[in-house]
Amino acid sequence: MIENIDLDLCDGCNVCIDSCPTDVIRLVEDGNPWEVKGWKVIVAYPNECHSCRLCAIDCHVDAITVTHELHIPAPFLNYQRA
Amino acid sequence: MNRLDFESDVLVIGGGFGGAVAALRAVELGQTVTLVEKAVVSRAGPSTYVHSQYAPNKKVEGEELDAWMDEFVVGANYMADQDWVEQYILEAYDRTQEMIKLGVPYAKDAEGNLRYVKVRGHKLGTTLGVDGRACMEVLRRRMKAKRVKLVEKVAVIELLTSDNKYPTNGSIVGAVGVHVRTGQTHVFKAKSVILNGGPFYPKIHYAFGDHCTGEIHAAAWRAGVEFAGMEFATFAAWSNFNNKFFTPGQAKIQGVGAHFKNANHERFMDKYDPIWGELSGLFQIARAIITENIEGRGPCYLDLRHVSEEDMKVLYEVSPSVERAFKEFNIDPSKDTLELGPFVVIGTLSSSGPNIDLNAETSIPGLYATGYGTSCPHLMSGISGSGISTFSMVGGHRAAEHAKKRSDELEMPSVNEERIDEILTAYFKPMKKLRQVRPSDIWMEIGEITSTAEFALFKTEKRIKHVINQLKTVRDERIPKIYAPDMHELEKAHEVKNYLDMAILACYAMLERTESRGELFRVDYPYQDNDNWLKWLLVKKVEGKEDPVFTHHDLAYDKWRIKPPTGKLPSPYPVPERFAEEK
Ligand SMILES: Cc1cc2nc3c(=O)[nH]c(=O)nc-3n(C[C@H](O)[C@H](O)[C@H](O)COP(=O)(O)OP(=O)(O)OC[C@H]3O[C@@H](n4cnc5c(N)ncnc54)[C@H](O)[C@@H]3O)c2cc1C
Ligand code: SF4
Ligand code: SF4
Repeated sequence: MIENIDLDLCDGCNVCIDSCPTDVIRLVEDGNPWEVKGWKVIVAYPNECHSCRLCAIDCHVDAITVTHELHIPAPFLNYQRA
Repeated sequence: MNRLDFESDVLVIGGGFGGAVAALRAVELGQTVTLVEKAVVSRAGPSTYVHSQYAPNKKVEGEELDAWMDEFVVGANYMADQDWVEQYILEAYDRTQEMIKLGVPYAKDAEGNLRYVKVRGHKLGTTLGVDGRACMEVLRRRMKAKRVKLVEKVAVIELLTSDNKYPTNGSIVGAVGVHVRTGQTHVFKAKSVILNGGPFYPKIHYAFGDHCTGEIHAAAWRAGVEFAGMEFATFAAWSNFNNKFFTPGQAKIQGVGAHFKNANHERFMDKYDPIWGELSGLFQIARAIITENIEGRGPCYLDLRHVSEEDMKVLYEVSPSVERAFKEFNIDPSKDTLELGPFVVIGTLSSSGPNIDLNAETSIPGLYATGYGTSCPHLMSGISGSGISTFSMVGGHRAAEHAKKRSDELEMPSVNEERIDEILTAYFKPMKKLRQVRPSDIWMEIGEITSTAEFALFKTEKRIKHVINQLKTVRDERIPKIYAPDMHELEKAHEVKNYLDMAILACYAMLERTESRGELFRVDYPYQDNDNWLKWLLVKKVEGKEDPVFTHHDLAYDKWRIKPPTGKLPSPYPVPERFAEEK
């Protein structure tokens, strides 16, 4: 799954947002509602990443870490139940 | 927000290999083309992850063609449409040669010649290695240059019919789509429509298919398209390692001679599949592991310790993600074994979906379909070797040619505004505050109902009917209560609803086929029945009937050259006592 976007490396090019087929990555306002500092790219729905790595492949500064970790929702693995 | 309207001779829905090839062929024939894709072409569905393509290394002819066909027909257990197999082998050559001319970076040897490799399970058929993403990038650039109108990040939610009826007695005149982030509505008008919506899977984060949940299948179903092979809609895998991580490349791992062992260190696959053993299909391996586990001999392990360093090198070369995954989790396959996490879900493999003829036309005139999201005329089997992407291109090309002939005789149809309003109102309804049922809750409920050994592995009439009733209860009582606070959740609500409809349809088909074949195993009919069941099960939605209506389609063996075997073949698969047929 997508672990992290390193905001120190990210230059906000927005490429990864369109690369993600499941729309996990989004552009949001940085700061708080009283003091908006601009925009930042965040992992908005980490639980929905299907680990395809497209975002990481497309990031030109290697700011994105995607692991091979997989969390199949538990009910789909319930075969051991009698 | 204003609605965006599009009008073109041909509308292509879904931008995988088949959709892209169809769009390019249609513009070449002078048609105006719109292609709508839920993600971004080349950063989308399964086409992005293709690593090799079926690609005959020459124009196969005469007796040799018979031998090439034979491999497919036997591999598909005689269920394949042999006319389709013939045109597939012939045109697979043409389509891949075109790809080569377009500059698709297929794998080459040291001398710079294309490196044709034999297909797994074939003595004759060949494939070419390719990075699907790079290939789709070439096609996307080409489509832009040729002025295909690309509409991306827009999900099609419904087809528009000429008589405003569902199922229709007329034709398809367009589609309605919604931008997956902004909710901007889109209406597409067209003389012909080509579907390329990909497979349908549950959203379980496996196989990179979470956005392919059967929306296009379900839209075609509602419009009245005839489906085939829904009884085989079972997707299985075993590479959920140590309950923590996964990697694609299961067949490649089997290929280097992996051993599957239970907790008693016994290799068990020969017991379940005496012919293929540890080289058996994904479903066969997943169900064997689950059976070992429920009989108290689990957990089961993947053992690669005996595999030579050289063979592991080859494996890492063809499947780099296997190496990356092992590294990430500190696995040394020469020392460590890996615990196996198998699962079996309702989802398409390659033989469940709209039934198509030799022109890739569905049962509705002017509506075409190609690729993973069709029944692939039952020719894509476990051994058809990297074939679906090539099949998809062959179908897409044929669909475009046929659509062109049609559209020359047609005026641009009109669409019904009232009907469009109804479709959009229904789609946006979960944004009105209803009960707080989330789409993810529904996925969990579907998992609870379908991921049991008695249903997924040991089917009987009673067990299938029980699952149908439970899924219908979710459909009727839970789906209407879904609440979606934003666009993202709204699209997820639509996804799960459509998957559920397709899952229920698949269960009905499983009930209808009273034998065991391929991914369908029935405890109450534990044999492959070649006398009565070497035929397709077709199914359709019929006006005024709640349940789907089935018909049987006999295969044209009287005119086909390759003849099928006869008789009943008992299944070797052992059934644990407690899953025996209920009396
Ligand atoms: C991990 C993996 C590896 C594979 N490897 C190979 C291989 O090496 N060789 C091979 O031949 N086959 C392989 N396959 C099978 C492969 O899926 C097919 O070969 C091929 O890519 C299917 O192409 P397609 O033309 O059917 O379109 P797909 O690639 O399935 O594309 C369907 C498209 O429809 C879009 N879509 C879905 N819903 C909507 C909607 N509502 N509105 C608009 N668009 C929508 C999707 O976003 C997607 O882009 C693999 C499959 C997987 C999952
Ligand atoms: S790995 Fe794939 S699904 Fe996950 S965030 Fe990146 S692009 Fe999206
Ligand atoms: S692609 Fe990389 S640099 Fe560009 S927005 Fe995404 S994380 Fe930032």
